[in-house]
Amino acid sequence: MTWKQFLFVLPLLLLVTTFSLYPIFTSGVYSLFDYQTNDQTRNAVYTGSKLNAPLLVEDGDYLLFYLRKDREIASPEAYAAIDALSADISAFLAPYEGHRQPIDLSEAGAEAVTAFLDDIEARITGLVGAYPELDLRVSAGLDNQIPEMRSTIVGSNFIGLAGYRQLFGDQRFFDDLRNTLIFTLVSVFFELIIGMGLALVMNRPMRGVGLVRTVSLIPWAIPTAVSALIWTYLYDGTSGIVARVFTQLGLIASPELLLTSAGGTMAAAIIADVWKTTPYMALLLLAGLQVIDRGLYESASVDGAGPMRTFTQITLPLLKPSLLVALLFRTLDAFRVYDLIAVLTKGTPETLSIYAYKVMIGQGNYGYGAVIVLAMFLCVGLIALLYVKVLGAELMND
Amino acid sequence: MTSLATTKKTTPSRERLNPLIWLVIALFLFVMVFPFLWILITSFKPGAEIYGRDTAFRLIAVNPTIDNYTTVINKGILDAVKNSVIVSLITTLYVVFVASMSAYIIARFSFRGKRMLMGLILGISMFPQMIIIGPVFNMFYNLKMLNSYWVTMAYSTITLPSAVWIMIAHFKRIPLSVEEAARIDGCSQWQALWIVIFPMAAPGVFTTAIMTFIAAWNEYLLTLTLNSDKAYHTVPVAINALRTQFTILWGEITAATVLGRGTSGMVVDAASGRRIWSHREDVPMRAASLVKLATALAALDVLGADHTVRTRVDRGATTRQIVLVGRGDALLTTAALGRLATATTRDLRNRGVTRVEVLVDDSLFPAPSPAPGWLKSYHPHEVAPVRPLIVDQHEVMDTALDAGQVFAAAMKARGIGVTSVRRGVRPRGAATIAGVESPPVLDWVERMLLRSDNDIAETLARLTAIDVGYPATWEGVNRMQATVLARYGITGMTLYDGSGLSRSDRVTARAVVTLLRTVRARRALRPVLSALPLAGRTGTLTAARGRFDTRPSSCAAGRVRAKSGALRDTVSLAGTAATVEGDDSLFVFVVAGQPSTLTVRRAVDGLAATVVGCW
Repeated sequence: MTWKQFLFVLPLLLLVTTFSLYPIFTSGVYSLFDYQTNDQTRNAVYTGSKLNAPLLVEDGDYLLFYLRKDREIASPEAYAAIDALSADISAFLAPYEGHRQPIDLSEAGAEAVTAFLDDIEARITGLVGAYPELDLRVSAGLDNQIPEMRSTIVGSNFIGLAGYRQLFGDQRFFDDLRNTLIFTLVSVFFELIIGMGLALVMNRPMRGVGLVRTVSLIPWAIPTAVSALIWTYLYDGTSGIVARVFTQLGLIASPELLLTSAGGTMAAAIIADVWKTTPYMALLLLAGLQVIDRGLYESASVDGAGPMRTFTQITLPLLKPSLLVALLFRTLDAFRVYDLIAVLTKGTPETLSIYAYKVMIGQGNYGYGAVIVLAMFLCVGLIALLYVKVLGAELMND
Repeated sequence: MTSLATTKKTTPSRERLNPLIWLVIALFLFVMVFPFLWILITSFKPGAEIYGRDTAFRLIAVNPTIDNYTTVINKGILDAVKNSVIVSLITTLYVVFVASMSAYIIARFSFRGKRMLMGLILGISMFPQMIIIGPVFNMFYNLKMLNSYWVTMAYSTITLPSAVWIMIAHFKRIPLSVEEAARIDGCSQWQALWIVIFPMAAPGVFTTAIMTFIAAWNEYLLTLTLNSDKAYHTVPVAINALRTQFTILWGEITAATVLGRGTSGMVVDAASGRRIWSHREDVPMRAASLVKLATALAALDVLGADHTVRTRVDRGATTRQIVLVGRGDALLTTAALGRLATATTRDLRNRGVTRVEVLVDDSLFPAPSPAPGWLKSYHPHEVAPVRPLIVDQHEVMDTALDAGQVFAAAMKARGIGVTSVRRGVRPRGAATIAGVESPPVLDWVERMLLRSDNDIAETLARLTAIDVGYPATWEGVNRMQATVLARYGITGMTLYDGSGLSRSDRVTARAVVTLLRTVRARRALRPVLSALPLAGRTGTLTAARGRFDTRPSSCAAGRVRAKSGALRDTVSLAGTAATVEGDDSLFVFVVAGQPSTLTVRRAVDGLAATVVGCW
């Protein structure tokens, strides 16, 4: 490749690197750390010891505030001790001020901080003990600020493969994996059957095929989140027409079960998914059907083959490449389902994507969330590998 | 199907289908279109009809209206449409541009690593988007690109691979000779691409553009995560923020936890007040300490946040008598009594008095009696008999005499002899020697709500009753609460005390939610919310007490502020939750009829986590 040609590909490489490869790599890194955004001692990837300087300064300021207030009620003989303590705390905090992120900390630095905290803790205890009747405010610092200041020395949160070990013991993950697989298999199965029928119908030269094609594309063109919302109205326990019809047909015992029971939500999600993506499946299959030479069908019928035999002996084998591509993409799409279920039931049946999102964004646990998404990544890889094995190299032919 | 082969021979262009297939096709089309038709019909129904038991299934609205459309437009859906168009257009333009350039090279030239590049592109189109969410969020956060149209760059991960793939296929169909001719005429590669190839591949370019546009138009996850600000919401995200109802999976939650049938609750959106979920919301329940919310509201409303009371020392009937007059300072401390003693001592010394008798006047409240519905076992450790004088919150049977003793000890320490301490009433018109001011009512409210302090609650309720003009009795408290709550339109609370210890107190979930909305909407009352314990962090909800410290509810730690309540057979929780979507919800849950164990409390915490949306 010449450098000029390389320039043509460069924007693609930059985008792919920034928004796909780098994040995947970063997720891999996260998965090795106990990285939780809602915990100040763990809200980044710390490879070495850190000092949470902002928190240290904030707590120190509280101590200074208490001492200022205490000076107002204290008798003059206590001034010397209070002033000395205030001055020492201020002097100690000075170099740590102005930081907005935890800073690196050497071993000697950690010892210095600990020694300082031991010192002021002893002096505050002494001060409080010397004037018991004053009810000094700084005594609150002994309970709250000093212990918190001790916690500002943060060790590395590298945990290696512990997150992955946790995954193997995580029943919720395996329950969600099962949910995801059931959802994927059942919806792709029905999409394939109905989509195939639809494609066969649309492949015939008949009146009205254009209408069928156009109408069947409507659900596909609507954003998933919006169509899921539509279905929530149809499934609603008191006012949803689909829930009511299903109840009257005897499919469910009472209408609210569709959105409030484990089986009901699974069925609800599958129906909504099949409704939305079957047309897409049908179009992919139709494209495959249209390249099959019609002469083959004529010879088959001359040879006296029935429609079933024609389908299994001619249509299916020739359709195999498009069929497998369509199945592969639909399977992977269904496997990572998020917005449909997130909107339809706020997350039930819980799939792996929902779980991962809740852990990462909801609970702020980026470390374990990364472990879950990487496990998903592995599953996706296995599924793709399975299909490619069947497909051979056809997909990659250039 | 039977006619497939035979008819094809005779009429190759058009065929007649048998009616069964037509029926199947018609049914299929109906199923495809029905949801839209039904939503269209529903969109003209007023809200009452949409959710009405009979009207919900009518084909034609009884009172058709276009209010729903004006509402949606007023709520800014047009801004969302604008955002969607902008975001989808930007994405389409740059993706088509970038995809064309690389597809041209890949389609036209062979080079080392080409198969790898294609495999990479294909791989990216398959992987779960969820994997990039965390790192991309951090990247956007660090670069300050959250809540902006930069989100379109992240869209490349879902649109670019398939765009490149389609473009390659289309570029390959253009004969090489065309390009060669162009090159001979002196075109550079750049010109050959844009002047010759690109226009010739127009159908492919259009396909790619449409696919990309639709993918960007449909995108939900990235916008939800990266652009939480409503100003940048696209249609799919905005429309879901508008929804009027969602289902909390009651069946799932109850099955997973130990909550039983005696559970009631309500969840509403804080800003709009629309109901998100409710269950038995009008059934009066014991709600334990949730009653303190009403006490806090009444105190802030009637007394005001700055109100203080003054504990005094008055002269007695003789020079050798002084009277410690309790005015209901529930936060009185030994240190404050010490200051009072210092001032009193100075006065007595000036008059040459060295020995006194201390009378304790607690007649502001009548002689204490248990409230209706209180158990004997409550005294004195759950709550002390209610007197207007208590020091350091010593929970003893006679807090007034206890305070008198502490005061006497302080006097003795300052060199004044105390002959006796007994209950008495200050003489009419007696002069005041000294006084100490209580902390402001705001402090009381904060402390009461944070620790669920029963003594403060009862004292505060009585002081409020007196201020409204009722006696400082249980009946007075009852009437005061009825009066104040009625003023804010809060019905459904029947209260017999200020702390919620009474087993006769009844509140409905709806009443609690109405109360929460009331205090949220008024600046003067808002401390009722801000003083609530923070889940997993402060007061009665600290992790040390087993609250919000275990999965699944630990995810709600720091996101919920709530008043907890517990009697031996009742567990309740009410407050505000910052949801994952960025809105605030108000909620109340009451579980009755089960021994109030930590397990039940944790289950209720789980419900709060469900409201947050992180469970």
